[in-house]
Parts: sequence; structure tokens; C-alpha cells
Amino acid sequence: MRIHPEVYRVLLPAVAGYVLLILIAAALFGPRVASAWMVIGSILMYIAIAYVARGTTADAMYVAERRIPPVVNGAATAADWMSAASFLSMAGAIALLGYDGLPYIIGWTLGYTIHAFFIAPYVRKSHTWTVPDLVETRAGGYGPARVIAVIMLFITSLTYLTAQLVGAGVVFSRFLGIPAQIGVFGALFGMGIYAASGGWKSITWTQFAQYIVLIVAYLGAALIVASIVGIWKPLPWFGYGELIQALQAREAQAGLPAWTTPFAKPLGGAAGQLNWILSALLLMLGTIGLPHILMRSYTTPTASAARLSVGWALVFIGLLYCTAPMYAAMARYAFSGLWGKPIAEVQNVPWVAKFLPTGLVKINDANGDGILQAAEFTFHGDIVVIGMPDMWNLAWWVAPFVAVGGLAAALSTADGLLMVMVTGITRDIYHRFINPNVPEHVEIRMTRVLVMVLSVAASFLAFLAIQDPRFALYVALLVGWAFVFAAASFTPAVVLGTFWKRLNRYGIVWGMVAGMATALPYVLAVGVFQAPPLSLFGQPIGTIGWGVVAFAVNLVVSVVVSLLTEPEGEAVMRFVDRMRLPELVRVPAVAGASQEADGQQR
Amino acid sequence: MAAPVEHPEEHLPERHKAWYWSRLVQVTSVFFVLWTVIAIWWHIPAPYAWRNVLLFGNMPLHWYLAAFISIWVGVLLIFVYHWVMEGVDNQLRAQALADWEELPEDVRMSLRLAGVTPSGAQR
Repeated sequence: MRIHPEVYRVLLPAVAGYVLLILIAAALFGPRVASAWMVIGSILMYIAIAYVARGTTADAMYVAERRIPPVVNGAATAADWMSAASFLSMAGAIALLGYDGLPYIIGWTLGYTIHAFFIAPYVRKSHTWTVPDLVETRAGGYGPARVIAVIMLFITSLTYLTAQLVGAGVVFSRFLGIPAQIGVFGALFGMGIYAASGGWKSITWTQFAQYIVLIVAYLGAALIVASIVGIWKPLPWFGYGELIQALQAREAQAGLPAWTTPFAKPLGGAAGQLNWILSALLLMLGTIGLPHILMRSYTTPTASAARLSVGWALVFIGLLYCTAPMYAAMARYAFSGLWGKPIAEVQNVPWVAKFLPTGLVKINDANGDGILQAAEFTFHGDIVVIGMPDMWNLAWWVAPFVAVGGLAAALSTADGLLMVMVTGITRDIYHRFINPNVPEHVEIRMTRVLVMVLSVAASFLAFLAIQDPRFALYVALLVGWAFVFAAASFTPAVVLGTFWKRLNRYGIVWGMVAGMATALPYVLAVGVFQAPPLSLFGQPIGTIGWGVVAFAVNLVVSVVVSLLTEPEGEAVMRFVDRMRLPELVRVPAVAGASQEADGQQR
Repeated sequence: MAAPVEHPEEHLPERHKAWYWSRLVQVTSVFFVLWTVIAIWWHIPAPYAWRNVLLFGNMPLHWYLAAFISIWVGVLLIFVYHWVMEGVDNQLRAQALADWEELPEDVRMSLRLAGVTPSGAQR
């Protein structure tokens, strides 16, 4: 494989400079200064990469010149995808929910397989610029379809972005000792500057670097702890069975149900096998409808490269997701080692003493006997990854490096979300409806300014989320529901739009409206107002699993409305043909051969 | 003189388009069914029948190995699908070149400009 010149020009010098300065800081000023530099320096490194890789054309800004090689695009997609929730919270969710948390593992991965079958090559081959652009073009140039798509895009992206900034703020506060409320604006600084510098081209190369940072941090800490625990038999991913048996023996002794017991805890407000399967399925369907993930298909040179890049993305994502249950088992094993000890002794265990003031672990001597019972120790999910280096007394540099990984995960997802929203305003609203003749340089300048404006707005929302726990709860719920909304709106429109020529503009619009009308009231009623969940085949269905019903409603309404109204004309049929057929001329992965053809559509 | 066209594949004879699409739907349907196995059916017996099956040093099969296997089979499916579809794509390109004279003049000119010739060589 030919190595892309940007790797030599941008990535290697930036990474080498960053590591060298960490070593110098550690040697001259000690661990504290070196830790701070690890966090701050990583952001400066991303800014440097973004600046060097910046583009100055609409091509670079919106679609990274459509020439990102599949492996790099796959890594960037993985970084785009794996958010603070994946890095910091997913292992915690598994630790808390056990078997009932596994839908997150398979739901947030196997969607990519159908993404490669049904979405990625066709989105790339559409030669459109944005997801709302694709929806409108498929709807025969019907403006309302684009407007509704932009609204859906904002619903799914803004809450998600807010949560990323909350995650970044928390990392800043824990490792730099500054309040999280201020930390969110620190994240804004980094994210806004490099997103503004060059749009998707800068973001793609930055995300590539961020993926490397986050996966090395995540796997590094896990593999070191695995060697301490002794589960390299032969690889830790297969070797922690004995750890689980030992943990379950301790749980049985403490009178707790086994952690891996199926359907013991609710997911999305309901428990049961049907809810488990529907929730996993919905997370798959939602994954492939999220605009910042759909967007990544535009940045490859060909439809074939888009398909291949999804395969690489799942390889890179799978590495982290298959490690999360191992984190959960190792953390629970560490927690269970505290049970039965005097509380005074437990409070003096270094990692417990460190995290008690943060609220990530809590001790409540309910029966007043001075001995820690299993039920008297509770934990917040985030401690599983953040606290792992301290739980196992690893070297000083591991904890800040894990924090740098968490920050990379939060920022890389935030960039993608920020850019799809800004593009939604500049390209999909301003350029399309307000000023179609806007000069390219004005549009680019506008994009840069809007990146900063939206960064400030999202940071303010994150600030509110940290200030007010109730607001934070709603943000967390909305992030989960973003998948429901994406599956209820974009996924059916994009899949049907390619595979069924008879789908027309009215089918697309009414399908999306009906899908959202099915999803939204249910998630509000069950998720916010605590109404009892409805049952299907005698089993309760939670808010996440319900999204499959909304997806099906969208499909049915799209088909029925399309059949009852006029089909689209010749232009749309040719557009669908273009999406379906492969390029007759193969485009090289590195040279910008596609620019000329795509540029004509601007 | 004819002007070059932007997307030559749009102007292929209808029978080539129909052939390609039916092959694509066939291949994709098979892979989609395989996907439902790893995404849905595989996990139905997991919490019950496989709960007491211990592998790799007493790891319960239902717990994590079922998810691990489905994820990596999912990865494999993408790469195999890509490989199969590359073959189908190349067959379509070969058919287009074999029926070179049927292509409209502006399409032939576009392809020549891009280095695609009836002999099949691309510069």
C-alpha cells in the first residue's frame, strides 16, 4: 500500500515533537508538569496537524477533497464514532449492567456491517455534498425534504455534541485540577480552532491521529493491568474466564446475583430478551443513520473505497469494544476485593481515598458495623476506565495518558458533529435557499466563523449540563435517543432511496415525520415521565428498543405514501442509477483525480 | 463534437445496468441474511443454552464470547462482501468495454480522456 504523503508531512513530526516534549518535561520538571503537558500538548498537537493539513477550497472544507485512503478514513470514522461515552462510560455501563449492557457492544459495532452493504458506497456515489443534500436530490429537488433533514440533523447532533463537551470538561477537571465548568471552554478552544482551520480535511487527519492516541491509551492500560491480574492465557481477551468465576464466587458469598446473569437489569426502562435484541438492533440501525457517520463516506475517492473504509472502521472500533468487557471485569474484581474489610481501612486504600471526594465511588455503612458489605459500596460507571491505573497502582504516566485518550475520543467526535451542523447551516440552508451565488471564499469564511459560534453555543450547553444535574440527565438521555431519532428518520430514507426507485419526495418526508412522531412521544412518556413501557408479544419494550418500531413505521409510511402519489421523474431515476453503478473509471486513492469531476457540481 | 459526460456509467445500455443491479441485489441479500445470523439469531440461545458452556479458561460462552465472535464475523463479512463486489464491478466494466460501440459517442470520448480504451487498458 502506498503511504499517503500527509503521514510524513504532518503526523510523524507532530507525534514525535509531542512525545519528545513529554520526555523533556518529565526529566526536567517531574511527573506533575509532564502530566499537564500530556493533556495540553495533545491539543496543541491536534491543532498543529489540523493547521498543516488545512484546505482552502469548498472541496477540502466539506468533503476533504474526496481523496482520503480507506485505512485512514476507517480510522477517522472510528475516532468520529467512538465518543467520550464509548471511551469513558461504556465499560462502566457493562460493569453496572452486566449481560444487559451487551447490546451496546454488538449494537454499536454490527451496524457497520450493514452500513457497508446498504449505505456507504451509495452515499459516496451520489456525488452529493451533505446528507440533507442527498435527501433533497433523491426527493427530486424538493426543498422541504432538505429542511426536514437539517432539523433532524440538529436534533441528533447538538445533544450529542453537548455530551462530548461535558466529557471533555470532566477530563480537564480531573487531570488539570480546574473546575469542569471551565474545562468545557478549554475543550472549545482546541476543537474550535482546528475545526475552523480546514473543515473536514483538517478534521480527518486530526481524527486519524486521535484514533491512534485513544486506542493506544485504552489498550495500553488494559493490557498492563491484564498482566498484573494474570490473564494473558494466551491473550487477555480470552483469558479472563477464571477472573469472572472468582468474581462470581465472591458475589455468591456476598448474596448478590451473578454479574453475568441475563435480563436482571433494565435497559431503556425495560428488561427481557425481546427488549435486549430490539435495543441491539436499534443501536445498529441508528448507527448507520447518524449524519456525522454518513458524512464519512463522502471523503473517500470511490464507492469501492467507501465500502472498504467501513471494514477498516469496524476493525478499529472492534479493538476497543472487545476490550470494554475486560475492563468491566477487572474493575469489578478490584471492587470485590474491598468487601468484608473494615471501612476505615478501605477509606485509606489510595485509589479509594483519591476517588471518594469526586463521588465516583461511595461508601455507606448502612448497618453501622464498620465492615464494608457488598451493597454498601457503589460506583459511578466512569471510574472503570478513569480509575483503572490507580486501582492497580500503575506508573504515574498511565493515568494522564488514559485521560489524553478520553480527551481524544471526546474531541474527535465533537469535531465531526460540529462540522455536520455547520455544513447544515452554510451549505444546506444558506447556499441552497438564501444565497445560491455566494462566492466560495465567502462561504468558507462563513463556515469558519460558524464553527467558532457553534462551539461557544455547545460549550454553553455543556456548562449548563455540568451546573444542573437535571439538565445533565436530560442530555444523557437525549444522547441515547439520538440513535432512536436517526433510525426513525435518516436510515430508512437513505436505504429505501437507493434500493427502491419508486420512493418519492412525499414518501421520504412523510416517512421521516411518521418515524419521529412514533419515536418522540414514546421516549418522552417512558424516558422522562416514567410511564410504564408498552409490551410486544408479552414482553416490555424500553425506549431504545422502541426505535425499531419507529423505523418500521417510517418504512411502511414511506412505501404507502409513495405508492399513493406520483413517481419521481427521469432526473431522479438517473440519479439513483448513478448511486447504484460503480465508477467505470477507477480513481487513484491518493491523487486528487476526483476533484475535477466533483467540483463541477458546486 | 460531443462534450465529455460527467458520469459515464449512467449511460450504459439498460441491459448492463439491469444485470449489475440484479447481481448486486443477489449478493447483498445473501450477505444480509448472514448478518441477521450474527446480529440476531446467534444471540437468541445465548443467555439460556450457552450459559453453562465454559470455554478458554472458564469463560461463559453467553457472556462475552458470543459478542466477540459476532463482531469479528461482522468484520469478515464486510471484507468478503467487498471482495465479491469488486469482482462484480469489474465484470460490469469488462462488459462495457466489450460493447464499446454501443456506448454513445460522448461517453466513449469521456472514457478515452480518462485513459479507458476498448482494449481494457487504463493509463
